[in-house]
Amino acid sequence: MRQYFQLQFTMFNRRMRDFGINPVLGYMLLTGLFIGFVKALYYRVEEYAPWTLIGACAMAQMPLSSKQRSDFLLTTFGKGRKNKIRIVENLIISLPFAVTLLLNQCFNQAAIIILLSIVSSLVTFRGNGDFVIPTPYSKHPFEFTAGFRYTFYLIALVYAITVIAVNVNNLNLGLATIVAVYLIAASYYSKPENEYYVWIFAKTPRKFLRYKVLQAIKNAFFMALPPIALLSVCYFSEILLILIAIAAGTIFLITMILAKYSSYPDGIGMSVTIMLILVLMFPPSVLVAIPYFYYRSINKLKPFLDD
Amino acid sequence: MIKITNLSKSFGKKSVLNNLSIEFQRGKICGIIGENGAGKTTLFRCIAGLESFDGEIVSQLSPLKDHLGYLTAEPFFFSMITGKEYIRLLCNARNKKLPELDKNNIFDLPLNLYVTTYSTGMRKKLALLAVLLQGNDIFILDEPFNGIDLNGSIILTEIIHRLKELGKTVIISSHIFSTLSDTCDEIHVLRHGTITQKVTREEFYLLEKEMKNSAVIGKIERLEL
Repeated sequence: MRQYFQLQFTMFNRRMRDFGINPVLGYMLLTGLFIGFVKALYYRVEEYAPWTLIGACAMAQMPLSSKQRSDFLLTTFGKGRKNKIRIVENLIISLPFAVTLLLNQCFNQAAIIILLSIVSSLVTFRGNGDFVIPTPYSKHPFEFTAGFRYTFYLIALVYAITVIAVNVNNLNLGLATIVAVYLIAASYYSKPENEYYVWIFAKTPRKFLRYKVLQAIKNAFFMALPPIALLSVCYFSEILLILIAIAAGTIFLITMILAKYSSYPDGIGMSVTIMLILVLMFPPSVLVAIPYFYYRSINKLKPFLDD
Repeated sequence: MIKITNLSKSFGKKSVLNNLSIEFQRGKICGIIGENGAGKTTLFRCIAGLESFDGEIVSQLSPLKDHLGYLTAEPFFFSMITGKEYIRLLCNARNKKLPELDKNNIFDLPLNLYVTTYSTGMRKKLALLAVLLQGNDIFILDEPFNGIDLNGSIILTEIIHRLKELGKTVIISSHIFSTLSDTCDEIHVLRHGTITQKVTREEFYLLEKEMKNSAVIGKIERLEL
């Protein structure tokens, strides 16, 4: 069991190195990000912060309960040791969340998080292969087809927030939901696809990028249509702001697609991530980022597509 | 036709293909055999344009990759994608209209289910079906029989024969000799990164005998069972 965790630690460090970051710096960065997340949470929605932490912890633990992973642990270590491993894994993940709750004197929630971690470690998410989540994007695979199926509950949540925004007469919150839909769409482009799925296209790199960008703009607009329509009807006088939100989301989506292919076939590395953060924090930097990513993408796609 | 001349490929200091020359004729089925790590997949990837290389690969079809159906040894599938959506993706990529899948689904695959729920053999069949429906002129089939059941293998053998009749070029690699002897017009032996032997149909039995001898003799005894 000790060797198993040593191997997990080594693998995690390797992932950070592949991402272009020194592991020591990575752990410091992760700690900083977690503290920042907690501070922001308590500052913005203090009342719901403990429950949000419980939810975030459960989400972080969920991938560890996949069927494939559980089957591997079961066949390799046997039932008893597999359960021990899973409990320890979940407890390690829950530790920062539980400590945060204890520091904020939320003893009940801290107990819940520990209890949930133990119980969920013994559960395997098998998924139901016979049930296929319907998607309006099945004609244009694969980013939106798969992405929609992974995030449909988030999209539903964003739509619900739009309705709440209208009910409480908060246009800013409504505009944020439009941007949120675009951010969800951009997340579909966060990982590079297998090179076979670029190679199969009978297109030049330029045409390939144009195809990908146009598909994304069309699909993301369709996905953002419910909040756009609702806000346009309820706040027609503020249509310019709504259009600005759509434009901002679209521009970030395009930047994300180009950023992905600018690193292709490798994943988005540290330097590209910093540029993407810069685009989010300082939007005018997109004027530099888009052409830079575009020309890098053309070069990176040349080995897989005919020029 | 594909003509490969002096093809060399190295990964770092490790040379995988070494001045390899070979020709694949239109309307012929060519088998490539070689031990694990002999360079079969690297050769296929070079033909497909997925690897950079030294040497020359020439074809009358230009660009070659847009006329090539490449079935990889272990096809990759996205999760949360159905079989139908996968076929649509591959056809869209080659600007080919989605065919009538009810009619074309010769392997009776559950195309409306997620590919991740498919067995290994079903995945291979799906990848093969998609490559066939793309309407390619040249086919590279890397271990096409792996994981496929008996019925599927019979159908696949017939498909390969039909492709030949249609004048297509088919290049196959397989570790199961009988599947190659059933389908191929010629077999090329790949050793140490180069083609060391070309054997025609009449001499297949000799090649099989030779391979059995070199593979088995003295090795089982070393296990001291």
